[in-house]
Formats: sequence, structure tokens, C-alpha cells
Amino acid sequence: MSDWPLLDHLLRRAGFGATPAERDYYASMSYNEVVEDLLAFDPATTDIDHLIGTPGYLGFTARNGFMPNTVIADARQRWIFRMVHSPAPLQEKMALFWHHHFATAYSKLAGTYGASVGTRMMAAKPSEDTTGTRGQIELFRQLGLGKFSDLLVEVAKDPAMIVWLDGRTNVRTAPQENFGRELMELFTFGIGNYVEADVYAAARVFTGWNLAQGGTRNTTTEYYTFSYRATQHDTAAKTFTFPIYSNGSKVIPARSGDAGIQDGLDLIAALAVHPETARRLSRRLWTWFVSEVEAPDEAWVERIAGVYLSSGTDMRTVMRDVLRSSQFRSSRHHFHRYAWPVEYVVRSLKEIGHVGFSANDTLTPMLNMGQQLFEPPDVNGWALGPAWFSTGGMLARMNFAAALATNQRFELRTASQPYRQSPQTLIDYAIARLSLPDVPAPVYNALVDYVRAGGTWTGSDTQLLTKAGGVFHLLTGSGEYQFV
Amino acid sequence: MKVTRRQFVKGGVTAFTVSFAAPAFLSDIARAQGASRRNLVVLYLSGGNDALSTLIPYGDSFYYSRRPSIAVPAANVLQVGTDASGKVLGLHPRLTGLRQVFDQGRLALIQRTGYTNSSRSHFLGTDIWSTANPVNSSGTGWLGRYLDALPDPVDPLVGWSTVRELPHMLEGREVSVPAIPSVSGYAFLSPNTGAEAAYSRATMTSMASHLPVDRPHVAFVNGTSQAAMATLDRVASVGTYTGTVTYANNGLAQALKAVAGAIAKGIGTKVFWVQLGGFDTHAAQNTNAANAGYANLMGTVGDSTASKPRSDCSIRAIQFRRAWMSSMYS
Repeated sequence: MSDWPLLDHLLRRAGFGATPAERDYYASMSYNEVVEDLLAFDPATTDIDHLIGTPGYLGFTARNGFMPNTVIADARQRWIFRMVHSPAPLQEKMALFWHHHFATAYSKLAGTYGASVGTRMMAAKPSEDTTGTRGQIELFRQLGLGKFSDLLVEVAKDPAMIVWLDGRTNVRTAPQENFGRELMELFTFGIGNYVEADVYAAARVFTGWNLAQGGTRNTTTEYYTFSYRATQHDTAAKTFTFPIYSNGSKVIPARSGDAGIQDGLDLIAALAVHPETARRLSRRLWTWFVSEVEAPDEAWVERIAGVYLSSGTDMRTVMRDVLRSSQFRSSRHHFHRYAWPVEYVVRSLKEIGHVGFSANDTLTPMLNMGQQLFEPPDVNGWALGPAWFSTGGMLARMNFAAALATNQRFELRTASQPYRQSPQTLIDYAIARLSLPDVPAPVYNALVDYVRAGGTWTGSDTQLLTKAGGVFHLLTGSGEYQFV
Repeated sequence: MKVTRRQFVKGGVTAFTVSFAAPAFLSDIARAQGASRRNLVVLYLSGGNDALSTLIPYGDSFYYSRRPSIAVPAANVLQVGTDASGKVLGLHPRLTGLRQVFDQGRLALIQRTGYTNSSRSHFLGTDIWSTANPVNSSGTGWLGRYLDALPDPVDPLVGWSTVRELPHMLEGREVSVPAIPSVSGYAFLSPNTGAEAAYSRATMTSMASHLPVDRPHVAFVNGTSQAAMATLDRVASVGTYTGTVTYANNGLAQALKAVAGAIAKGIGTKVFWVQLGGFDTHAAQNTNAANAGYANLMGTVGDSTASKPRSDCSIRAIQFRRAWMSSMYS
């Protein structure tokens, strides 16, 4: 496709931006073909983890070996690596979306079961983990574009979630409300659609949804799996203020302890197809994919909600409609999302370069920018939009750009050599490579002055080494670059 | 038009056409703020300090009967008099520095802070403590709300968190408190050095000064960048502060040195946040062992707040919290 601004927009939103090689790959396709390519990934075949450590790819820093299943810093490095290099960027983008939606923090898991088990619960890849644990993020990577109703069931059984929202203390004699509350308030239809009595009933529904320990406690073999404990389940009927069944019934019937797990499945099924769940998810998709600057277009919200319901909550079908919608494509909404720190970091690695740079060197800068993967501040997820931009956070972005431009300055010099004729050609090259919109004249002129500062511009290699890195640093630290 | 953070966050795009008018009671707070040259330095003992091992009711038999193994013996406490009900009180034996401050009449001790039926959840408990709201603890922090009430224009350096992750207490809706864990880290880096680095800084400042009226979201981010660039030198000035006493080479002492420097240099910051972790002592509290966990924590608190920076920044009041975490596990 020849509409570069639209292609770049799609790849920034459905992915994390594109390397020059990735742009070339998509260039021969039509818009809809690119969308299908992004949607069509098969989680079983998109694995690129074996490339970690290969020359030419983003590097990593090993402490005592590289152990992404049991050491959280390594799990973070692995996820950054996947975001930079995955041939299925939407898989990682959806995983990030669900990580925010079902915000679970590693620190509570580690505080409960120790760092290794906590990392496993968040991030272990089952095929490579000695205990076979499937970390929460792997659940999102596997089911991120599947049916939302299935995802909800898996989240309810997810060991990380059961620790995070205290499901393991939710028993018949003392119902624990955290999961039931957040299931309704944050994961599905949201505040205003239920009352406190529903929260209590939901807590009783999930009594007995607990964990079983495997391996030996306090050894490297320790792990946890979902375990339904029939004896801890509240067997009495539960009454809600909204319909649970298609016949309109609001009552989950009394069931034996052995059959009681069906209570939770019934409640989840009802919440997944509630029209307000459809609308709430639709609005969240607007904010995540279309615009944070403009409020959701209600006609769009209704349409996407309709697709969600008619497809049986199938997120791949929903995302096809989102990405093909005229509102998504409209140039009006380009650069209308405040880049999350992780988006900012990964995009700059893809656009500026990453050879010889370690994923580990993104972690402290991201912390300074206000985001640590696997550590959302609370169950609400991160505070988005303008809230990312404190003075310290902004400085951290500028300084990450400086560190990356410094690290890549020889590469940048080489790449800039064909554009050395004038300060303007150098700047234009950087703007194009960074997939920036038109840069306002005052900003552009300041950059021209910068390239000229210190002596007459000749475009020598010495000048390019200094100024190419400088220009990439300044543009990546600019206000314009903070938007995707 | 000048775009301020609070206008933007408060009302988004529409805020550019309406002026901000503070309710009368907020103006009173603002006047009080303006009239005072004092600073608030909060020292947060993270993890849930066991207050009954810090300020000890050493004459209370109930204290000893309920704490058969971890009570501090009456003979060991540093006596500080009695409370309003006549109960005798003493500080933990390692708080000799604080005791000196108390004896000089510069320290107030406040007991029984907290709320009824305190939560036993670490998370909920911390949230309630952070927001000072036992009913809805998911909102802004109590200090953040105070800063939100200050009148425009709010100095971007009005608050300073010396811990990297901004504490919930300092989270406001409109005012953003910078996390400056190290003064040297709050600096503008450049790929080049010398004159070239200076060109970069000047150019970034110039680029950030462009506030496009047709794109208020970009103007907002540029406004934040402007504030960052404009505060660099003030924060850097603190780095030149050497102090009138020697500060230990530990995190708390160095954070207090930065606070003392910021106050001494008069950079304008009103609220400082300083933190010492490790109070989630559980079974390892070992209150009475001279060199065990709790005693060392108390030693760090007492020495760093009292004897070291005392001549640099006076400690007005230190508030001890109720022990909801330690009592849960001890």
C-alpha cells in the first residue's frame, strides 16, 4: 500500500511501529490485507523466543543466566524482545491491552509465594517451564483474540488472579468479595449495572475457586494450579438483580458442592454477553485503538458492541471491524493516543535501531516514565493519557531517547549519509524514519538551528556523527513523538 | 495562551475557554500556604511500623500480657512522660536521637492514629492510609488532594518524592509531583558533550516552548517538557549542597540530605516525601535484640532524623501510625 501515513498509523496502533524492513514487507499489500495479516496470527507458530541472544536482534542482560520463567526482570526483557521483533505484533498489543484490563501485579504474588513462583504465575511459558505453569501473560497471548467469554473463564481460574484478588481465601463460611466485585466493576459491565447485593452473591458464586500446590514447598519445584474445592462452595441459590439465563431468570439455582463450579461459569457467561459489557469493552477499544483525545463516537461504540454480541464475543471479529472502521483509519485520529512508556520505548527501538542495545536498559527508564510491566499500580491498571506526563516522566523519556541515540549513533551516521546535503535533508530523513506527522515550523526551525550550531554545515562524517544522533534524540524527545 | 497542567487535566480541551475559580475555603488554604515558609517533610515507614514498639506504654500490664515475647521491658525504654490519660510512655531504646529532639521541646508524639476496624489486607490497608478515606480508598492521596487545592500557577516543584515510584499519598488529580530519587538523575542527557550538549538542551527547550493551540494535547505534553527543562537548574543546585553535617551513605540519609539541600537552597518545594522500608517485619521483628531487624530500623530512624540533619532541617512532628500490619502477623 502506498499510503505510508495510514500504514504507519495501523502499525503503531495494532503493533508498536515498524522497522524499515517491516514497512517494506507490508508495502505490497492492500490495507485490508495488512489487517488480515495482523489478525491471522497463530499463537502456536509466532514464537520467536529462540531468537533471543541472536546477533542482529535486541540484546538482553543475563545475571545468573537468563531465566524469564522465574526471574521477573528477565520476564520483562523477554516481553520487550517480543514486542520489538514479533511477526505478530497485534498478539503482543492485545496481551498488553488485557494486562491493563485484568491488571495484576507481580509484587503481591511474589510477596505471597516468593519471587520464582510469582514470576511463574505472571509470565511462565508452559512449554519451557519445568513445572508447566502457564503465566497470566501467556494466557493473554494465547486467547487475546479468542472469545472474551472464554478469556473470562480462564482469568477466573488463573492462579495469578486467584492470588491477586484473594480468591484463595473465598470460602463458604467467609465469602471474599474482591474477585466478584472486580469481575463486575472492572472486567465486564462496570459500575452502575449492579448493587452491593450482587457483589456478595458473586462472592458466594466463586467460593471454592482455589489453588492446589504442586511440587515441594519452598523449592524450585513449587507451583500452583487451579483447584475447585467442592467442600468450600456455598451450595445455596444466589439471586442477582440482572438476568443470568436467557429465559430472564436472575437466580443461580442451589447446586451440590460437586456441581457448584457451574455457578461461576453461569455468571461469567451472563456477564460476557450483557449489552453493557459490550459497550464498555467497545469504549475501551476506542480509547486504546482509535483516540484518547476525542470521546468515543457513540454510533461506533454501538456498532462494535453489536459485532461483539453477534459474533459470540469473538475478539478477532471485533478487532477486524475496529481496524477496518473509517474512524480508525481517519487521519483525524492519527497521533491521538498518548504513548504508554512501553509503547514509546518499543517504537523508538524499532524506528531508531536496537543492535547492541539491551532490553534490560529499557527497564529502569520505563520505571522512571511510570510503567513497569507486570506491575500495574492497582487493579484499575495504569493511569493513562495525560497522567503519564509528569516532569520526571517526560525527562525520563527524553533521556531514554538520548541513551538510545548515543548507543545507535554510528548506525545513524551511516544511515544518514545519503541525506547529508543540508540540515533540512537530514531532518526530513529523521522525521520520515520516526514516522512523525508534519512537524510545526517553530519546532522544525529550532532543529535546523541545532544542526547549524557550532559551525558551517558541510555534512562531513564527523558532523553527521554528532548531529544525526542529536536530531534523532531531539525528535524522539519532542512532544509530537509522545503520541501514537 | 498559557496551557497549565491543571487546566488540561481538569477539563481537557474545554478548559481553555473557562477560567479556574477556587472555592473560598480553598483560598484560605492557599493563603495559609503562602503565608508559611515552612516545609512539610514526611518520613514514611513503609511496611507498617509496629507503633507499640516505637512509643511504648510501659506501665500498662495489658501491653505486657498481650505481648509476652515482643514487649519492650519497662527498664529499657526512654521515658518521655505521660499521655492525656496519665499512662506513662517511653520510646524504643534505639531512638536516643529522637529523644534528644523531644527533650528540646521540638517533637510532638501523636498516638492512636488510624480508623476503626482497620483492614487486615496489606493492599486495602495501605490504600486507606494513603487516601485517608476508609470508605473509598481508590481515589487521590491525602497530600495530592492538598496540592490540588493550591491556586494557579502551581510550581512544578511544589512537591518532591525522593522515592522513585510516586506514593499513592502524593497522587493528585491535577498537580503532578516529580519523583526525584537522585538529584543527579534529574538531568538532561545528550548524545554529545560540551557545547553540543548545550545546543541540544537549548533546542529541546525551544521545541517545548511551542504550544500549538489547535492541538491542546501536544501543547499539554510540551508544557510538561517546558516545566521539566525549567526546573533542571533548581534541582541541580541541590546537588551542590554539601550540608553542615556528615550524612551517612545510606538511602534515607542521602534522601534527607537532598531535602535539607532543597530547603537550604530555597528552591520553593513545599512538600517532601522520604521513605524507609522494611517495617513489614512479621515473625522476624525481634523487638528487643540489640542488633536485630526492628532495633536496627529504629536506630536508622532515630539517628538519621535527629542527630544527623537536625541542624539542617528541623523536624516539627513525627506521627506514628497504628500497627495494623505487624499486629496481624506477630
